[in-house]
Amino acid sequence: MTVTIYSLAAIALFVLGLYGLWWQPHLLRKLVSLNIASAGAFLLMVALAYRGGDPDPVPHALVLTGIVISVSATAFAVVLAARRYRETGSVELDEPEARS
Amino acid sequence: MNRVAFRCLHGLVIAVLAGLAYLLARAVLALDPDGRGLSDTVTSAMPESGVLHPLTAVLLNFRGYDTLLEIAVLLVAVLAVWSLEPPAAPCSRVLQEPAHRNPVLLVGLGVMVPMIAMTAGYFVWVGAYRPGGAFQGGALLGAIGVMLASTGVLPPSIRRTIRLRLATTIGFAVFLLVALLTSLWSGTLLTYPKAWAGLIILAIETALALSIGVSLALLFMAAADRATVHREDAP
Amino acid sequence: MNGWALGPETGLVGFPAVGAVVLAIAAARGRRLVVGLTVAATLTAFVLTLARVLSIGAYEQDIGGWGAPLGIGWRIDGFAVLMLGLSVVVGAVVSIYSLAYFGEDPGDRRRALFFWPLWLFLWSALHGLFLSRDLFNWYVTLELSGLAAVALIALSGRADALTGSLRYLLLALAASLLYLLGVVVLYSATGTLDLAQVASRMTPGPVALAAVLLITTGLVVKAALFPAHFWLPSAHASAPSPVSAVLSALVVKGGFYILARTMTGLWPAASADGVLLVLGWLGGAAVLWGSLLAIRQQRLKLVIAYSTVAQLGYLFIAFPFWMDGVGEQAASRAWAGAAYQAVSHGLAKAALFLAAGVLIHARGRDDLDALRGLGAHLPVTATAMALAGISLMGIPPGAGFLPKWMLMTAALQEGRIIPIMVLMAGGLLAVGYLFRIFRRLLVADDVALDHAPPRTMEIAALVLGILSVIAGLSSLPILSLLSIGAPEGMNAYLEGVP
Repeated sequence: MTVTIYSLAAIALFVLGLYGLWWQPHLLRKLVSLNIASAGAFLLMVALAYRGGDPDPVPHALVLTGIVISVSATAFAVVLAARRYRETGSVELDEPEARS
Repeated sequence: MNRVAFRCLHGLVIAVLAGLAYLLARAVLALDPDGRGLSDTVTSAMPESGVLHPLTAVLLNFRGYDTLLEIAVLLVAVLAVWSLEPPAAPCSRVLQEPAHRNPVLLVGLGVMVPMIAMTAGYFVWVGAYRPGGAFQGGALLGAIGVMLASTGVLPPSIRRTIRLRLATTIGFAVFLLVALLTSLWSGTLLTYPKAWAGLIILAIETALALSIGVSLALLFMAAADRATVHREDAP
Repeated sequence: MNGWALGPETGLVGFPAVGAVVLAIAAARGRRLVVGLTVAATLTAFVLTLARVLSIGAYEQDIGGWGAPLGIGWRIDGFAVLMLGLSVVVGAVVSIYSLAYFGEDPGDRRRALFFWPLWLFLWSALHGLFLSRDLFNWYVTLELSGLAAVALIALSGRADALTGSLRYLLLALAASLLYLLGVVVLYSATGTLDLAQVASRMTPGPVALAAVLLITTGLVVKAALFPAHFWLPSAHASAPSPVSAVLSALVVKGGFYILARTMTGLWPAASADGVLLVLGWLGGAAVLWGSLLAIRQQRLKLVIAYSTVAQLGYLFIAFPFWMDGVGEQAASRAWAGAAYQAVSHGLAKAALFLAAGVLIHARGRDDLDALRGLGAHLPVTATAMALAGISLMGIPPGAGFLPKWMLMTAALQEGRIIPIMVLMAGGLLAVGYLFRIFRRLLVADDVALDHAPPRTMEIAALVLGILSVIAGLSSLPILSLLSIGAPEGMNAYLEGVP
């Protein structure tokens, strides 16, 4: 039961994150959305690992790997977006070269 | 794009995502509620892993190769962030009043930094038999970097000296060296000699914690728009 | 271990990584030596891996000695070795080209400091991807190669490159998450991440359906299949030329490779049929749409980038032939054709982008009209482009001919008319967009070069151009290599060939 609740919540987070990634125009909001989606994926992994009593360590290790990748990618994306803002004055993808 | 077309697209996206959620939910509910994954396999292989905590065994022994590549991802992120700095170091930024002139803050840091560093060391050590390890220790070390940067103890731009570059790469370098040496030994990457597995893992974890800490702090500083100063002919 | 103590394939991942670490720490002075050693060592490792596969057949390696499902495994078979060969050859030539490409002005010197470690990490990650047979390890290699690729695109620092790389980064991350979720569902159902083990424990049902859709969608974005191709042209065209070559020739093939592996060895029979059919249609659409847009572009690198969208489409035209009930020979011809196309496109496209880098260097701009009359000044580069063009148009003896012919015979055997029409139209359209380049190169305008490009760059492009013809002439060795350890039911394509 607990597993089901967590799993369904994780799926909801994942889908909401993807929706935000598409819908939000501001790059930082896109990144936050992407991280919400990642959190959903990681939560699903941890929730499913809890089936059958004591947790399965393998998904936990995979989540740790996923978190490090997600942190690295997010930091890089933030700096990339900031650099782009300096060059173009734009914080949105679809109006590039707004002020350049 | 006109309004009607946009509304249609919006509806389509929501429908696709709802379909995705439905499919996923159906798949998750169809899974065996007592599925145990690899728990039993991991448990029975623990005596050969050189450590007592299953998470550490999976991360650094059974699936150590994933972790090796993941540290490469962190290193690539640091290099990528450095490569994005504008060619001229931004000197024009207004310097705020350095916080470290505040005596309360200074004393607070003097107490907290050593304690956090010690806790980080403990986490790395305890990872062999309890929750902990290089990532937890590294995250704490990274937090020290964030504290020092945001209190103004670290200057707004730090030099990318050879020492800083070494500290950033040493985790991956040590791990890779172990991988290649063990492959000379046994023909495949990361097959540790059993008697040495515990010691090798501790050595890797120590180097990893240092690099993870430094890398996380550097990523934070880059995202907070603090520059690093580079030499002409080195990354 | 059959007299082989060392695993030579280890070096394919290990040596570029060592080079990357050294160049991430060290100053620029010893760079030529380090790059040279890394390239030589990686080539040697590849030759030894090839020799090993030819002598003992397909083999597997258990990293850490644990074996699946606990550990991660590699599988080295004909398909893997072919893709590794493509990556090693293109990577070696691009490395030598790049030593000359990043010249002496301060911006270039700064970019080179980061180009080298990032590129060598990318090279290592690609080899890891082609060697692996572990679903989660593929996720990690995809992320490592993707992140390094984005960083390399952004290297020029121009506004269009920053926009292109950021869009690519966001999409690639979302695609990885979809793929990851599919893998999670599979692991939860089967308790393993090893490709063959998951396959043997899979049953049709809601789990398989969700996993097929998630994994395929994620990989399709990575492989830039129409209509998920829209990130590709701006990203590939705005990158520095050696990076464009690597992206088009190798990085998008990573997504295709995993997709081909999963489609021929993971899903229970017939459970992916609908998806395979859709992929085929999208592939056909990609060929037509990519080619038409390539004809409309005004900038040299955008023409080549849209050509990549079109040429990737051919890979997916093969997919419907792996549905349940297709004859074994047609299925395996489509399989071999797709693998061959991945190699022939990789060589030809890398040659084109490297040559484009020479031309842009010579004129300092990259609109098509800047090319007028350059052929007379740079005959070596023009030849490289012509050889690559022959392959892309599918004219024998270019390497692009045989894969299209194999796909056509597969379609004929199955009595499918639409793939044949798309294949023929695609060839004609390729002539259309490539002659927009050649026509301008070969006019007799008397123009002066702005800069004389380094000789090394011209020769590197020519080497790849020649290789894309040699790969067409040596079709039999390539096809017999591909049959080593081919997936079940996929090695009937040589039957009836003398």
